[in-house]
Amino acid sequence: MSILVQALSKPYILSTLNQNQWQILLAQANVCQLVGRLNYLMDVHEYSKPSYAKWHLESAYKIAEKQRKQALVEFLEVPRALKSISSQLTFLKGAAYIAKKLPCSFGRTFSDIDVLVKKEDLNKIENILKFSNWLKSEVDDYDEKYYRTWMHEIPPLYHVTRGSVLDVHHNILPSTNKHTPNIDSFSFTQVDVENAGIINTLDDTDLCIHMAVHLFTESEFHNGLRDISDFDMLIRHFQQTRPNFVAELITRAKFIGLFDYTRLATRYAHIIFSTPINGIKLDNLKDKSKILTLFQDFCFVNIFKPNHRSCRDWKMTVAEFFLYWRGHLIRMPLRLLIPHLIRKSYMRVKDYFKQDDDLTQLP
Amino acid sequence: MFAQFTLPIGPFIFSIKTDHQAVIDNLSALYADYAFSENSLFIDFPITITTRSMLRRFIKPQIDFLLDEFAPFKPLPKDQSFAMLEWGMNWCITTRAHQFLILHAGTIEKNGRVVIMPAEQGSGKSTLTAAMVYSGWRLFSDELALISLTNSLVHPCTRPINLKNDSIEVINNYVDNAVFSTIAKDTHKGTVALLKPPKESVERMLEAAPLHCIVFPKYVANAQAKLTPVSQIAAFQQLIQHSFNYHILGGEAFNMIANLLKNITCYQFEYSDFEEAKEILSSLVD
Amino acid sequence: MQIAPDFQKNSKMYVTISTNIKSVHFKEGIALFNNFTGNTHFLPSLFNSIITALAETSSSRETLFALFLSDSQKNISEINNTKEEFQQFITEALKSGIISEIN
Repeated sequence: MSILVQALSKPYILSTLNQNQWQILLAQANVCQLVGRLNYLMDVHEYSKPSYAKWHLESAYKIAEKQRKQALVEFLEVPRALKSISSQLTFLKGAAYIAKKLPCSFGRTFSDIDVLVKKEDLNKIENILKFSNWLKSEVDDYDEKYYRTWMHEIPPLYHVTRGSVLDVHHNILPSTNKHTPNIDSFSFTQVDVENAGIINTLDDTDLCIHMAVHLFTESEFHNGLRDISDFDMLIRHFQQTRPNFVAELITRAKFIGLFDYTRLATRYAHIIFSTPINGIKLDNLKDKSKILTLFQDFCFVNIFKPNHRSCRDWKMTVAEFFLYWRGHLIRMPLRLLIPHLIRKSYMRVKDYFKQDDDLTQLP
Repeated sequence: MFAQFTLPIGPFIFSIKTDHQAVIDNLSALYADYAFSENSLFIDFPITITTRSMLRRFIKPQIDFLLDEFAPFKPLPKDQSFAMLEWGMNWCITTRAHQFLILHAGTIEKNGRVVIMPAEQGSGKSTLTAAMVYSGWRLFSDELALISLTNSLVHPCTRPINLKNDSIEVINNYVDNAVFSTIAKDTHKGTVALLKPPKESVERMLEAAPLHCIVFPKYVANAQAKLTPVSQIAAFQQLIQHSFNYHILGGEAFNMIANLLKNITCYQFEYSDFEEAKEILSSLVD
Repeated sequence: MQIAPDFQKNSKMYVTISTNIKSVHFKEGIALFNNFTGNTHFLPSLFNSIITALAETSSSRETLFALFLSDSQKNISEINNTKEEFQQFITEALKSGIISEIN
């Protein structure tokens, strides 16, 4: 097991590491965007930071704190811009963790602020946001069509002066997925955020379920370890006030028809981080099919690892391959998937030969 | 075959691994005075300079900069390898070292007093810095001023000095036995070469010192060297403009800059001649 | 001749400086940092006394304008320009979150 996963499962390990181990730990954490979280864990447990690691930990935390502050500003500004829209505006994922001040939000870096709106209002919202200085990121026409039709969002919008990026969704799953639950089956809650006002978000169980659905319909897992770690921290946190939280979560997931994704998240958080799953047996979180269980265990146990040479092996590469296909097949039927992937490969090859002309990124 | 260099640079330890001969040669020449400890060091920035694509080793050769396994930039033509390394090292510091307020400025020290010279790209600050550090001033950096948020001291980040276009010739004439890297032409900054830093500056790279003065330099052909006081408010605004990470540090940086400005003076500095510049700048710290 | 400017429509409103604002006075002006937005603002020293007053307690527009007027030491004939300057400051400061209105 990698040092990073060990540290996230049992934070006391952070107080025992030597210089070499810190070198590897920070390298793995950097790849997974988890350096800020390590800083948070060290602060919460009051472990003293070795002099060589201190600034690395605290700098990453500062960057995450800046992003948190940006999200708080958007909790004020986005509803303000959209005040003429009568239907509900809901903040999801990382933004929701921040609104609810959850432990997993501290030191956590993210790229976009996710917001859920009603499909009927999408066009109107897009127009209003354009006039509030939210511009579309540059995507080519094909990607734009893909975003709108098959994903469940308009291409990300970025704010001209504030620099924040907004992902506007109208559904929780892409349109082609077989299980498309009704948005109305989710439970919402309101949070009072200082300086910003009342924010709509999902309630505790549905937040976890939503997160699980997203993670287990992915085809690429660049943030996989961070996300499953988020889930582990969510469960541990909610269990403090609701000792039967996991059982309640499973019941709720079954009720809204999203049990499969939720059990996957719970199973692998437990296997990887030993997340307490009071009252639930690991066996009950297996797939009905023995073969699928073996397949899923192999893939997910090996994908939720730091993608770093210190712990990378052939199993991770194989898992990446399988899960790439699984993720795409879940979201798109084969007849649409093949042309889509051919197009993506073509774009990648085109880019490869274009490299020389684009030197815009240098400092 | 990969060669590896461990470089202590002020508060940071860089490790540079490369299989490019040009990079090896330049590192050996320009970092010859850098001391390496026998103890195993914690590497802050593990860098690799190589060509990842087999194809691009031979066809239109290009070079990649990697921080651990991550490539923050697109590849560059191979003959810009050493310049790319230096730009990459700047990027590492400016995007990560938030224990400092980092300004885009030439930074020099004399008599235990630091003068920071923030300036626009191409305003001559690196050339001025180069001339000063070979005239009795200690080099902290020609590009980056690092001001500690814990104690407000300025920390050296001693490295080769970036010179462009005509400045290369100018400094070659001004400094005896100047040692330069190979010259890279047609970079996004024009013709670029790096100047080896003075030995004493390298040896004293761990000595921080307090900020004494902020000087905004501007090369004006044939102008007589002249200092014009700048208001603290104007200086504050300029410092924010010239900082890399003010927006990340927020209130911490605001408070520190406000405190610093209460105790130092700030000037606009016009010059054309190095000897005059030397005299005027020295008068500030005597 | 109108000396007292007409703030009638706003006379119920008090103006207060946001608790998120940290201000530092320099000889030539004031630097302000808004801890919520992360923005930094600069005001000319003209507004020194307004900011100082607001830092202590919330005030009505009339009170602030009176302070501003005495500070500016302008002639009676320039009072309208001064009023405009003041109004503009209030508008901009409200927009950028430096101050807010309360009852």
